[in-house]
Amino acid sequence: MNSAFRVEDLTVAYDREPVLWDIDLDVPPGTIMGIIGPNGAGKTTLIKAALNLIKPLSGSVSFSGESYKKFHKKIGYVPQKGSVDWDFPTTVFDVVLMGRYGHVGWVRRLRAEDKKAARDALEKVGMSDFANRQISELSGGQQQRVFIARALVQEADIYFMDEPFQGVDVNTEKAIMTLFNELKAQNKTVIVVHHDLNTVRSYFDWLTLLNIKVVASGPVEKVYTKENIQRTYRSDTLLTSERDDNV
Amino acid sequence: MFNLGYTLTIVILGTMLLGGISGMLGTFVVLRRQALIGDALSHATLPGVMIAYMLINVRDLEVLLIGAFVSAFVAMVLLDVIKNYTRIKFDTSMALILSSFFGFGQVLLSHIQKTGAASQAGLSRFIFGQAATMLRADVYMITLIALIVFITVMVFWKELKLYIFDEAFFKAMGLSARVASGLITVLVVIIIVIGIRMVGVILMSALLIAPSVAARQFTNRFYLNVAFSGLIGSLGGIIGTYLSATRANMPTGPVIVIVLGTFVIVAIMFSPRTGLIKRYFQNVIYKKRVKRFRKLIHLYEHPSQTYLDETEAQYFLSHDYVMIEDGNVKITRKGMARIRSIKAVHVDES
Repeated sequence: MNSAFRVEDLTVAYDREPVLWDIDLDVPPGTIMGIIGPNGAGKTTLIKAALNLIKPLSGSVSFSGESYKKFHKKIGYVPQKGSVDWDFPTTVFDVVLMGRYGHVGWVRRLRAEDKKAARDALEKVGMSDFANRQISELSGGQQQRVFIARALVQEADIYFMDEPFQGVDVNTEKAIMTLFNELKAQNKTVIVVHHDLNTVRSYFDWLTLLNIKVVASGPVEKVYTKENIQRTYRSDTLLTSERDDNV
Repeated sequence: MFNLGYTLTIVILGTMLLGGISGMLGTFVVLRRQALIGDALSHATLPGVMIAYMLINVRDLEVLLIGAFVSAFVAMVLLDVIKNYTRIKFDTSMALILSSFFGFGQVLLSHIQKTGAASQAGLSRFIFGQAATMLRADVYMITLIALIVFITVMVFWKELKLYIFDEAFFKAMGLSARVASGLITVLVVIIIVIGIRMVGVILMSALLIAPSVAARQFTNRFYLNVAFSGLIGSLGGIIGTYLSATRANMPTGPVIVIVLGTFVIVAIMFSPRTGLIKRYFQNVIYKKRVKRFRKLIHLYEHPSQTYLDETEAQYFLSHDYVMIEDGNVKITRKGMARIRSIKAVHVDES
């Protein structure tokens, strides 16, 4: 079994309201996979369930055949930019260093190599000049670059990016895509929650269309069809209609 | 020490240590946006103190403080239960716990006062606190606890910082949010328990929150925020205790809180970074400059549509902000730099 990320029978509910219903996914290594779907489709929830941030009702997730517990040091994560308080008193360099905390472990101090990794990552995202900048002074695109640098220092095999292009300028978006392609070239897997349907074909080689259920998942050229897009974005949720069909 | 006398020296040492350590720890609570939790938990200690007294029937401080700890812990568990199993909003449940525990404590207190023996005198001190009766042994205890809290914070520094800044990322690394959150809360409750006797359950939260708010105005670094906050808290303790001791009938706790409140106001007004005074003057200067240079700015942004009258042209020419080229007025490098400096003030301020 050669899959970097595998989801089986995953169902998640908040307060009895199903948010993800019976998800099955199989993502090969060395791919950049987009997840698209309307608001409330469960895109972020899927990522959070993968990262063990929420407990699913049922189902399981595995990474290269291993459980989250065994694999979590090789997972990189970019949460939604809006999920943190950018007024927090800290610097760009400090935020990037946070990506190393998992490697270093509880209590132990950061080492010189951690600082070097942070500097290198800042260089890669073109933010070296901002290392000592207070994070509240950053633009949206710069904030996103900092988050991506923080994920890079995690030195992961698989990356989960929750809307990395949110509020980002064109140049930053291009720079980020270049980075993703570099990761892919190292046979790493990048999973990206995405919104812009125009760029799907050029950005991703694997795609999941999600609306509580998986509408389709596979190579972009196969699954990115007009019909699938319509099924994903139609107003009544798939769940209610299809469940009724099944009854 | 300034010839303060033995008793006052003891009290000042105690409030200084308490102020310092609550200031430091308070920064974690404030940046986690849970400033109200300290308030709810400190109010929630009151019934514990009373119940402990009723059960043991002596005014043994350690017993009363254990009661306070247990009571705050029960409140914490209740807050958690309400959060997880009902749809009541968190701020609502905090207000609910705060007032009902405090009310319950008051009822128990008046019951004890009506029926109890002479030993009950002094229980009411827990409401507003009384630092003046502090003994050498109390200072030893505060020192020990402050040290324990300080060392714990230092040891788990990076974990606590990351947890406060980005909980999702913290959890995604496989680190336990329950441990981090539990650690902060237990430390806060410990500080509250040693603090309530000095400043009282009502005002204890000010010691946690005010120093951090004042410190935040002067720094953009987490460690400096924590350090300054500790310093400000200690200073508040020292000044407040001194003021209350040297004037008749001034309760220590409230005076410390007033001193800390003053620090906050001064910090918000005069901070060199975000101070209201600085922003006010920046704004005035900015408006003045825009008024004086608006034609220059317009020339910079819409070169072909700008008409300068003679006095304006003279003024800008004499300062080398513009030059005449082929009969057209053109902006110079110096002029551009000027405009940029005007705009920079504006950006700074936002």
